[in-house]
Amino acid sequence: MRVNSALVASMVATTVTILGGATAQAAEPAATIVEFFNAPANKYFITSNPADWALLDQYASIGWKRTGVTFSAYSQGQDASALPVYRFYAPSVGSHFFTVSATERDQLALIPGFVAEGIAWYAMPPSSGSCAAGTVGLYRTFNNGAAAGNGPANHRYFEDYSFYQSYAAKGYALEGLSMCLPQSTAEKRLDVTRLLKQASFGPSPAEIDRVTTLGTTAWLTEQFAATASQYTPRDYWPNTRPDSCINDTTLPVTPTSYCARDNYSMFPTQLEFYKQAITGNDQLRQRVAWALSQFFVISSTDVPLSYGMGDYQQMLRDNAFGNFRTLMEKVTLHPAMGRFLDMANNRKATTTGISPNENYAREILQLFTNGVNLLNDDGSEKQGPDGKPIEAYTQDEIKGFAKVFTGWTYPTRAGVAPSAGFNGQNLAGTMEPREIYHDTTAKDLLGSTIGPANGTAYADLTVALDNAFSYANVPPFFSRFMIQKLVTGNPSPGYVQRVATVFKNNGSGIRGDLKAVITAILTDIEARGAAKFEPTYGHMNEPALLVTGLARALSAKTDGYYFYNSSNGLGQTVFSAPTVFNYYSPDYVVPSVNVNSPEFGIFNSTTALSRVNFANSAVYGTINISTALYGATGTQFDWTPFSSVAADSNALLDRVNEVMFAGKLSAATRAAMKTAIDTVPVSDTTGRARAALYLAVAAPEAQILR
Amino acid sequence: MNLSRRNTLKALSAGALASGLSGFTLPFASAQSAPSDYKALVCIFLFGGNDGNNMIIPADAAGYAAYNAVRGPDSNINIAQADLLTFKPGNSSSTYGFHPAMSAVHPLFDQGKLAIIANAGPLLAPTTKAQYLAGLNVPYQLFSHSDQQAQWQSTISNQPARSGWGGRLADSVASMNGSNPFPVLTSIAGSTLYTTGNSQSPLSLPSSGGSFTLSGLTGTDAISKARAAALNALLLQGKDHLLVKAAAEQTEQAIALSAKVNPIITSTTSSVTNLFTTTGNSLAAQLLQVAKLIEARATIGLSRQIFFVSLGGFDTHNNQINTQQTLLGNVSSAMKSFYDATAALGVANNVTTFTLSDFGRTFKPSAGGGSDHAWGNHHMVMGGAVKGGAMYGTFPVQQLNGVDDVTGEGRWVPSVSVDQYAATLATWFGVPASGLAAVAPNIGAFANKNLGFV
Repeated sequence: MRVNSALVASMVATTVTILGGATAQAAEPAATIVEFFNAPANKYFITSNPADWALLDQYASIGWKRTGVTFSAYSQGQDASALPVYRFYAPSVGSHFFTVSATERDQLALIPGFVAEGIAWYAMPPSSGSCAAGTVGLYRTFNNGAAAGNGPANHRYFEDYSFYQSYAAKGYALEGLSMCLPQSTAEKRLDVTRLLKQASFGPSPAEIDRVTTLGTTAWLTEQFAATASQYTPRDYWPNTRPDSCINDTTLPVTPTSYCARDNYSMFPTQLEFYKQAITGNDQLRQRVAWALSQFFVISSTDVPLSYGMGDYQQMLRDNAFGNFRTLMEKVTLHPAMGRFLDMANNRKATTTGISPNENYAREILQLFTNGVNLLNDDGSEKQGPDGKPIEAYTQDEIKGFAKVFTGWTYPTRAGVAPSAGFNGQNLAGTMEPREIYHDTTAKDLLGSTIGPANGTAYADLTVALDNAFSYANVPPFFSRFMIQKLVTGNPSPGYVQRVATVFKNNGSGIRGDLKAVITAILTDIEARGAAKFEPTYGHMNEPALLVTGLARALSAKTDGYYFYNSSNGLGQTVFSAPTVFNYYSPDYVVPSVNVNSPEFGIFNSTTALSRVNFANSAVYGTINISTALYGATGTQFDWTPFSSVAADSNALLDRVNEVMFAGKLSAATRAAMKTAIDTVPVSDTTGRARAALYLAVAAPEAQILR
Repeated sequence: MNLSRRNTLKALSAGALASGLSGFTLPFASAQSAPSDYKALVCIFLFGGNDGNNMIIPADAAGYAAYNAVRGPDSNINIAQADLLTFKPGNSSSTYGFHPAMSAVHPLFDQGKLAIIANAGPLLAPTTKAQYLAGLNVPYQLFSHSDQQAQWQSTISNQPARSGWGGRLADSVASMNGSNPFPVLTSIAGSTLYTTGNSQSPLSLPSSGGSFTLSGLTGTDAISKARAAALNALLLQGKDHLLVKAAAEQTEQAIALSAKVNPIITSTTSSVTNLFTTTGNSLAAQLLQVAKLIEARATIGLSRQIFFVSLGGFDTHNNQINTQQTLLGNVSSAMKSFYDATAALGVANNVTTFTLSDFGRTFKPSAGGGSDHAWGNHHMVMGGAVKGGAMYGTFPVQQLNGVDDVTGEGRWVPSVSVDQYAATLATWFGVPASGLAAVAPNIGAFANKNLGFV
């Protein structure tokens, strides 16, 4: 099957990196490695030879048993990149050893006591201590033999990294990565499922099938090209609600019945967020925009007008795959942000002793670009001579930026004459300069200054945004944040550095190419490879993702109402963070386990119960069609993918394990779930599916996306 | 995972609540005998940085003139002298005024139930303006919301902290509660650094009106019972992953405590409910929940409790006059209701309530009718044990570029530190002098370890 190498090479040429699923057309690994254990002898043994299996299966009487662990491997000629794995036998201790290294093979051949037994299977060698995307690391431990009081010398091999590490406590030496194994179709399906949990609002059974067939590289290409979903544009409303604009509960509901709710809160946009997140085709764009909305935060708690807030969120969607510098300017000049952080109608110092407002100046530096301390490219903090972090900007620099952000006003409304001074509030569009209010005195920027040169408001803005954008903190600060939102809350320094490097230069000399950054995040070995087995990997599904995850697993059709209501009770109302500091800090460390995991910042004993109660409500409750929503269609689930296999509880659990747990369902949790499912009559297939989904949504193992 | 919570969970998951806790003892349970009294501390965090410069205003002629010179009628954040709710601290020769929205708590000052702590803030040591300008003793990331919240909540100002002083105070007094698995700390405002201890972690409860129980698991048929059993079983699994473990144990703790807590917070017969006006006042709804829990102190059975509540919206960069009018009105009303509740419950002398906030705000106004982030700030302490009717700390000289202003916009260098504020409250709570450093690690930098307000 060498035919695939040309195909793979062409995909490498046209995309930045190969993904696991990109090799979907590669050969199905023909070899299966089966692990055996002999308890009396305390020996593990792995083999892909069916004759060995048959022999050992016959020797159960002397202790040989299958452990249940299997790995995939290539057989000869299946893949051009695979190398032979050599098997050696040491008769003195009755143990085997495997190596993919020809150098090691040649060395062992010279050592008396090792018997070369030929080629066991074919695998890929590690490169710089890592396995390439699309392959799985096989880690080796050594029990140190009699010297450590463990009996005869013996190796055990692991794909599961945390399991591998746990063997240190048993006195085994952790010998690292021995080889990289190909993924079987089942393993690839799980990688697709993981990708859909990282880059969409959750996998559905149909989408797992589709993307497995499509290949993940093609899926990314499709997603980058997908048309953006649209928040319905809404008309301007004045800041103060007219007395005529109320909520009229008279039935039947009309498009204008709930004037106050629909125009003086973000309700319509929030419903559309859920409806489109659950049913839209531009999943990656929406998911990235949702992450961006938690970086460039504005909140309806301060600005409760849907026409402007929806306009802002659409702007984030439209620029999600563009350039970071462009996004900085769009954010800065959006009037909803102008209102939220007081840049709109900000003015130079007055003779009566009023200073330019510092709010936007401080937060664009602290939250939207640089963070508070100087960073290395890997996201770690630089240290000064005193060993302490180095603050990224000074109060004088804040004052300088505050002066820059003077002389901007709300967009002139259509049909209204522009004011020579400041316009009244209008939260949609782009802010306009009013030079008479712009501060033209000298301004400190980051390690730079703007002289008293009478620069226009826009000229100064351009210089200042370029200054902040060019600062060395931006690539690691933003890259780490996006990794945290999409993949894992505590990325390795190397992961941050690899993505930051792409932020600095997309390969074509462009800084801040968000499409390249997102691709780098999702295709990185830490997103796709064996790191997923580490015991701190991943991140909690925040409330919005918890509810969309279930909705998409059940292929929901919805007007968004039910999910909007549900997530509010879980401690997260979309687009309504308490402050510009978002719902939680990217630096939040879970005290009980000392792991950086931002979403745990809103996970506490109250929301812990609410999440389980959401499972109960969604799976067992009756979801009524709202009578307070014009055009309401309610929410309908499609249980078929689960109920159709539910007569066989193991088949049902296989499907639930794939969709809800991305294959991470432990044997013990599976057993507990099976007992509950088997209590429901076989004939009640939907009842069985409900029991399975309730427990899956409630299970701690499904709370952590990894 | 901390020791006490692990044991809590072990005890609770074994059904110990129902069967009694005999045979189960915490390792340190016998180290200190339980005190016979009950004491509670209630922390009110005003998120965003309350403008103390408009909460407490000099009311005598010279003081108000200095105020008016910077925050005059043209500033858009002026409070008129005639509107001040005046008071004269017993230990001062000057007269001051509360913000006019604070009529509810105003009388408590003269009744000796309320004290003002003037110009407090994060410090590494007693610090002068000259030292600040020379770069000495400067707390990290002054004027940043997140960092200054952390410093007020932790007392630690030389580096980011992993625990708060409420949490560490809970660690220190946990043994006074014996082997009771109910946490020392209860937050009605979610997870915060303040309530994070080295070994103690908080119970987080909803505001008044919410419930704290699992739904849909009370069915007695075989299917429902099997589902409930499976839920209990799977909460114990997958813990080789640390985040799964953290999620599972939080859920376990919540389920285990819900049977005791839910009847208390959903009680319709509480005697304190009608003392609170919770409509449009989320702080009042939170403090009502605290009052209900204190009302049930015999059922809960703790000797020491620490509560955390909060109100947001104080980041008044614009429209400060209207915003602060509403917010301080709510704070004042909620605090007065809460004081009255403790009095009605007969525990006014046993409950001390105090405020924290991100920082003070610039004395100089900024465009938009607001003020920017600053440093030292004024705070309130309330309760029967409080030596009220007095002002502690030193009121700043309200002059731009004056002796207390470090940047020219009226950012005051604090006169007393968060460490001293925390240590004073900890001392009242029963922490001996030798234990104060465990609560406020930097207290040794301050000669005066007790500000004397309680």
